[in-house]
Amino acid sequence: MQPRVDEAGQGGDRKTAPDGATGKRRWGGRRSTAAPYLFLLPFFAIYSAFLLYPTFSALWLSFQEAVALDTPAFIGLDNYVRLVQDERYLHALRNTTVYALASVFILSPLALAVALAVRSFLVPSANLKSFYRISLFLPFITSFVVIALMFGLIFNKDFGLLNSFFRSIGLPELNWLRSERLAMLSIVLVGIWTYLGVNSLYFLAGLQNIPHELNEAAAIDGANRRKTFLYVTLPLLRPTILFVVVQATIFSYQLFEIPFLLTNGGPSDATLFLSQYLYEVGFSQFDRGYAAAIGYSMALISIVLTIAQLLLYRRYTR
Amino acid sequence: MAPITGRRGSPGESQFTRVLTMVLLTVFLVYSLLPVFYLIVSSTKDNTDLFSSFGLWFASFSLPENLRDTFAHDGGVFWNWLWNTAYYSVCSAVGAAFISTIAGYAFAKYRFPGRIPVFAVILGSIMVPQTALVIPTYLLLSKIGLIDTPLAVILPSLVSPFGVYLMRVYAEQSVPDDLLNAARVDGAGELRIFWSVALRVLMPGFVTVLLLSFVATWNNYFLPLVVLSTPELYPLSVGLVSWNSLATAGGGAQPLFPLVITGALVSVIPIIVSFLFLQRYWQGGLTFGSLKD
Repeated sequence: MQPRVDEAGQGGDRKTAPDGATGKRRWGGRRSTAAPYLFLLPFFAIYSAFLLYPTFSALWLSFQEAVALDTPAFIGLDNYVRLVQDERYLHALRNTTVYALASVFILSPLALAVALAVRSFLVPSANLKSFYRISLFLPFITSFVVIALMFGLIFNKDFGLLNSFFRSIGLPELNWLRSERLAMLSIVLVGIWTYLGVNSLYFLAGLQNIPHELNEAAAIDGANRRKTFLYVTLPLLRPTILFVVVQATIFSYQLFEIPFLLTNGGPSDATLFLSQYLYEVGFSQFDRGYAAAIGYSMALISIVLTIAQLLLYRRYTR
Repeated sequence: MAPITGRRGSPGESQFTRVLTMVLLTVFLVYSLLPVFYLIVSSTKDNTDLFSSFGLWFASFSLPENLRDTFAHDGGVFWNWLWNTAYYSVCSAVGAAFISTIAGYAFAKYRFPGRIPVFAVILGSIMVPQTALVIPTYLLLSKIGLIDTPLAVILPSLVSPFGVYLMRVYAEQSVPDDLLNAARVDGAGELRIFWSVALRVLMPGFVTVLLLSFVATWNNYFLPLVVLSTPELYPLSVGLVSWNSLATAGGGAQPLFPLVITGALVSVIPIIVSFLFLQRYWQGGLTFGSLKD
């Protein structure tokens, strides 16, 4: 999505800053031609070493059998074939997909609802307003480690906050993190806690961009709130929805810390995510080639889903 | 704010939606703030009260003792972790902000061959998961002998594709070509123009990237987990998890849970303070990506 935006931005810029600028630059002399490369040099040095090199190195590694200290051997696509037959991998893929679906279909609509509520409800005082802003931001700036420690206590079966609340209203205590039925739900709840606020901020920014006259015009034409929302607000919010959904999908497939620290993938792999499986294969079984293939499968899934979402978006905006 | 007030009285508005809105907002507030409040309350309790008293209210006020124990435990290793975290975060943030600013400026203000495809590649790399890169990065760092050194955390944290994107957009919008051309006419070199003319205008963007990188490094767990093995070099994130594993395993003479909780609270305070004082940069940085569409 972003490259497309980028092209559009450039097209506009070039046309509005025409000959004058280029003419003057030519006048400025030839030395300016080296400047941009010089300016990009520090970034590219670091970027090549710690992003490009690992990216290609991982690709190459994924075609090799590289276990522990053995000499790596080229095995073509065998690692990828192994993925499709590996039940644990498929299980992790299913778990991660369940989480991704939850962030797209539960978290994102909830974030929109919160954004609409914050916007339509006039917060009476400035103090309250900053109170809301803090509550929107707070989860996002809290580290995964603190989040995991906090929710580890809240979900604790014996003395956790949630169970003491359940006890006080006469409900049975539940084993939030250690039962196969509930562990994924707990992870999703923590995920919602972590990302709801920041996604609401994205929607708030998107809502701010919609000219208010449009809503008023719709109201004058006799549209009720529901109709205004469905036929005016929602269509105009499409770019923001796309942004929120795309980044929610990408980050879901990259999620590592929350399940790793809260449940460590358990019980019986009920919350094993792809990233943790990669970590185990790479750093406990020392199977670097296969771990690299897992990593590439994750990146490929993100890319394919992003493209699919873009195509869907294009189809519905035409 | 005025338009919003106007909408309240609009014909479609019903009592029901207003109540629903209020309920939704209240639930949201409680959901967002309660866990943090719980953490704060818990950090004031001693080990007995932590497990026996009501979770959401104060019992024994043992915060001073907890703080003292947290900083004294295990030969004061918490001081090391705090210092390491600050050191890694400041170095990474200053470096990443500077590198991203000058790169974003170059993308925004110069025409050179390959500019568009190169920028697209940089943006595309946001999609590559950190977990996928960690093995080759580990192998690279061990090849050049940096494993288990501060540089193993700092160097990879200097790469910020999002920072470059943000600075490029920011530079496009905030640095007028005329300003640069005027400086060129005056005979200033390109580096000097950047340093003494453009950088001043780019400062708000610079601070935003600085802040985002600072928090990202401060909160980073996965990278230091993989590349560091000496406890004295750990940042807070990895250190706290190591204490928490001990606490859960129930080993050791001293009950560790209060220390883990107090330590966690101490670790978020600098981030919250930075947020409170630099709110507008936060807001700018986070809503940037979506606004650009």
